[in-house]
Amino acid sequence: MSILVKNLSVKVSNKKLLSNISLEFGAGEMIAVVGENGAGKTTLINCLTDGSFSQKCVSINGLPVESYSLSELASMRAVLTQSNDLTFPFTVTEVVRLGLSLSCLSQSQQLLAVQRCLRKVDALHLKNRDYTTLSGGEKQRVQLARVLAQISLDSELPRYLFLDEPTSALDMKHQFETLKMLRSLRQLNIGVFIILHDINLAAMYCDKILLLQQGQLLKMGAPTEVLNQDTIKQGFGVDVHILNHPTSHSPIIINQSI
Amino acid sequence: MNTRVLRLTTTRLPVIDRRVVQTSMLSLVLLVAAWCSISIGAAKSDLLFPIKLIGEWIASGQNQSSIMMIVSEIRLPRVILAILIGAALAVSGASLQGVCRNPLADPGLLGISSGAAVGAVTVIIFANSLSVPQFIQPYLIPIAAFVGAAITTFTIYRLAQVNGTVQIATLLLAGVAINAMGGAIIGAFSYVADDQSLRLMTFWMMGSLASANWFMVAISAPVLILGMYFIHKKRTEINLLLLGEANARYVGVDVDRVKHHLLWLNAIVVGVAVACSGIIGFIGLVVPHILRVSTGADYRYLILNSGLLGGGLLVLADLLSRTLITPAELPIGVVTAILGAPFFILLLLQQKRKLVLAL
Repeated sequence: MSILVKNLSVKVSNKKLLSNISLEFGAGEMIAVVGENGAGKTTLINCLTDGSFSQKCVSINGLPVESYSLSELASMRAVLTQSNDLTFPFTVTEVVRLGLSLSCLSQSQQLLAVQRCLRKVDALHLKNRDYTTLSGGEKQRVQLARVLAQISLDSELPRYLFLDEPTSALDMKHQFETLKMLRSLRQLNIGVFIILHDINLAAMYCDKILLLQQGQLLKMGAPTEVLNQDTIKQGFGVDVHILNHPTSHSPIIINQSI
Repeated sequence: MNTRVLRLTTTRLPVIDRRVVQTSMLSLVLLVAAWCSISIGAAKSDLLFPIKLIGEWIASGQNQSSIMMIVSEIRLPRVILAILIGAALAVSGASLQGVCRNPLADPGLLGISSGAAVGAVTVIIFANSLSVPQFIQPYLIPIAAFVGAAITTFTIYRLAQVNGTVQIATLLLAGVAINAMGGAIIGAFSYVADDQSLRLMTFWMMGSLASANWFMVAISAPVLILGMYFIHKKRTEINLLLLGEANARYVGVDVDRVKHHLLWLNAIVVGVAVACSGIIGFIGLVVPHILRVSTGADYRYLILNSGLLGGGLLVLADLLSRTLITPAELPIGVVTAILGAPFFILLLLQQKRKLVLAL
C-alpha cells in the first residue's frame, strides 16, 4: 500500500514548478522533503493530495487520486498547511473536533479522540483555551492534533499524513517531541510526508530524505545516502561539513565558515 | 480504561447541559418577546391577550370583539413576520460571515439588502406597465427582490474573490458602492412615483413591519423556514470553511459547491425578507457577534441560536418602533440601529481589550 508518483511535471505560465518526478511513498514510512525556497516542496504536496492538481500521475493504494471522492480522500490522508488562521474564537477542543466533522463517531467517542490527539502533541492542557489567543507554536500543535484526528488513530487502514513545515514555530523540546511522535505513527500504518527546513532533524528522525532543487528530484534515499557535501552544495549552494551523531550515527550538517 | 470513560462522562455532561441551557434560554427570550409584543399595542394592552386568543380559537368564536380582531389579524401576523425576518437576517449574517471568514459580513453592509430593495422597487414602479397574470402578482415583489439580492450577492463575491480568498476590504467597499447606488436608485424612483413617494422611500431604506398580514406570512414563511433550515444543514461545512478553503477541501468539503449553495440560499432568504419588510440593518451583524462572545463560535449551535436571538430581537425592536411614539410609528431600522450601533461599538471595544491582553 503506497502512494506512487510517475513522471509528474507541473507547469504554471511557462514556469516549471516540478519536472519529471517519480517516487514511491509507503504507509508506515517517514519521508522528509528538503530543498531551498521555491524548490517545489509545497507544490509536490498539493499534487500528492488533491486530484485537481495531480496531473493524472499520482495513485494512492493502486487507484488514481482523481478517482477518489473528497470525503474518501479525507479519510485516507490529512494535510497540514503552513498558514492556519481562524477568524472566530473557537476553543482548542472545537478546532481539533473539526478534523472529525465528517466522521460518524458519537459525541463521547469524538471527545475521547480529541483528547487523545491533543495529548499526542502535548496540548491537552490547552483544551478549553480560545484558539485565537494561542501562541504560534501552540496553534501549530493544535492544528497537528486536528489532522491526526482526521485520519483516526484507531484505524488499521493505510493512511498518509502530509505536513508542510509543522515544526517551524515550535521550540526545541517540542520539535523533538513532535518528530518522535510522528515517527511512532509508522506503527499505526501511517505514512508521514513532511517538509522540513532543519536538515539535521530530518536526518535524525526520517527514514528517507527527498532533496528537491528547482522542481527536480535531486536525490532520494536514506539520510546517509542523500546528505553529503556534493548534494548539499548542489541543492542549497552552501559549503558544509558533515559530522556524525555520537549515538544515532545520523549525519549532522554544519556550516563550513561564518 | 473504565475510570477514564467514567471521568469523561462526568466532564462531558456539563458541556451538553450548557448547550441545551443556552438554546432554551434563547427560546425563552423569543417567547417572552413575542408574548409582550402580542399583548402591548396602541389600541389596548393586556398581558392575557395570547391566552384569550387561544381561548377564542378553541371556542372557534365567530363574534370576535374588535380588540381581539386587532390582536389576531394585525398584531399576531406582525409578530410572526418579525420573528421570521429577524431569524432570517441573523442566520444570513452568521452564514455569510462563515463563507467570507470575516465577522463584518452582513446582508445590509454588503449591499445584498439594497439589491433586493432595488429589485422590489423597480417592480413596484413598473408593475402597471408589465402585463403579468393575476395569480403571479402577489409573488412579483418577492421574486424581484430575490433577483436583486442574487445579482448583488454574486457580483460582490466575484469582485472580492482573488485567488480563492475573499478580500474583505474589497468586499466591504463593493458593499458601500452598492448601498450608495441602491439608495440613489430608490431615491430617484421615489421621486418618479408621484404619491406616497416619501413613505415608499422610508419603508425600503429603513424597514417597517406595518404592512404585515396573514397573506404575507403565508407566502414568506415556507421560503424563509426552508431557507434557514438548509443553511442550518450546512453548519458542519461552514465550520470547516473557517479553516480556509484549501484546508476545508482537505477535510473533505466540496468548497465551491457549498459556497454556491450558501450564497443562493442567502439571496433567497434576504430577498424574501426585504420584500416583506424593507431593509432592516444590524440584526445580521450584531446577533452572531453577541452569540460568539456569549455562547461560542461553533456553527453547529451558532446558526440555530442566531435564528432564535435574531427573531427575539426584531420582535422587541418592532414593539419599540410602534409603541415609542404612538400613534405614529418609528421605522424599525431606526430602532435596530439605535440599539445595535452602540452595542456593537461596546463589543468592539471589549474585543480590542481582549486582543491587547492576548498580545
